[in-house]
Amino acid sequence: MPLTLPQRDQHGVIPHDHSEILPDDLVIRRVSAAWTVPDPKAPGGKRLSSMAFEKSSGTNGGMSVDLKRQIEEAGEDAKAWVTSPRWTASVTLRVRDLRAEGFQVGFDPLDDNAHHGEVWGSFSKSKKKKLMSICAWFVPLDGVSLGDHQSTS
Amino acid sequence: MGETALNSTSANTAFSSNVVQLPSANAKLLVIEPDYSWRSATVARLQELVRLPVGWDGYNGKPVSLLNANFALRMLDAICGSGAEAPSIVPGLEGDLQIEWHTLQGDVELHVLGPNRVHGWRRLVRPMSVEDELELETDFSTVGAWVREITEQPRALDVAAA
Repeated sequence: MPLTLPQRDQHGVIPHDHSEILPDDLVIRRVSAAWTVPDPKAPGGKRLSSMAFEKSSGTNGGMSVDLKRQIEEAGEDAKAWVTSPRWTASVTLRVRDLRAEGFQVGFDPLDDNAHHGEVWGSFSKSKKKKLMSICAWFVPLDGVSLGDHQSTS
Repeated sequence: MGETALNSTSANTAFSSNVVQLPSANAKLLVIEPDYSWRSATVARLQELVRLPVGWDGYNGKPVSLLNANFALRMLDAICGSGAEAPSIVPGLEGDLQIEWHTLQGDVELHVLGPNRVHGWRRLVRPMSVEDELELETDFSTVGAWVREITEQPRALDVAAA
């Protein structure tokens, strides 16, 4: 079932919490290997940087994500979807957990990504660390932990 | 020929009062880069990040800007001494970048949003848990101390343990 299209203004999609994106839904955040940093405190000695959870600048700027249920309902393979056209690793975040942290989760379809969404809210250092603690690998980077005390599962 | 020689002589006389004495060989003014152990790896990493293609993050991420990369290097020259530990450098989405050190003693992250626009964060995990954040413009002495605190302390502890 396609999502209702969001409202736009001159800056793009207006930040919103989309009612058809459900609490149990997962959003996928693509993460680049360029965000890997060495940390002796992390299992395996490497982990993801907090920069993996950064929002875009601009009035309506949010953190880009892919909407997993919408990808699958369109008959696409979610892992294939988020690893093309450029291969990146990725993590998932539960919509319920994001909303509990004060974030809005919305729909922002793009010409080259019909299942693109945005997460809007405060991306302070403490919130980025929190996002790191509540995410899980979807397409993992081998040997890289999420945060400095977590497994790579 | 004679006329040319005469004019040349006149010109030399006319401008002789404006001649500036060049510095002697004993008064060299050298423009060189600091020879720090961490610097070559850092410069190579910055060069890599300014060459990232648009969309490097799987969305619409832009490469690190030359302006920010240059500022980051100058900032590191000010913060880090010759024997400092090389930092990790990761790209942001809008030409910004983050410089990070992570050790058993703690973490320091410097988010370079633009020249003289830096958000600093540090967390100490040993000997006690401490977390600080601050906005930086021109004075980086505090973050210099943060970096030394988490990168130099192990050696002091090692010596104490020995």
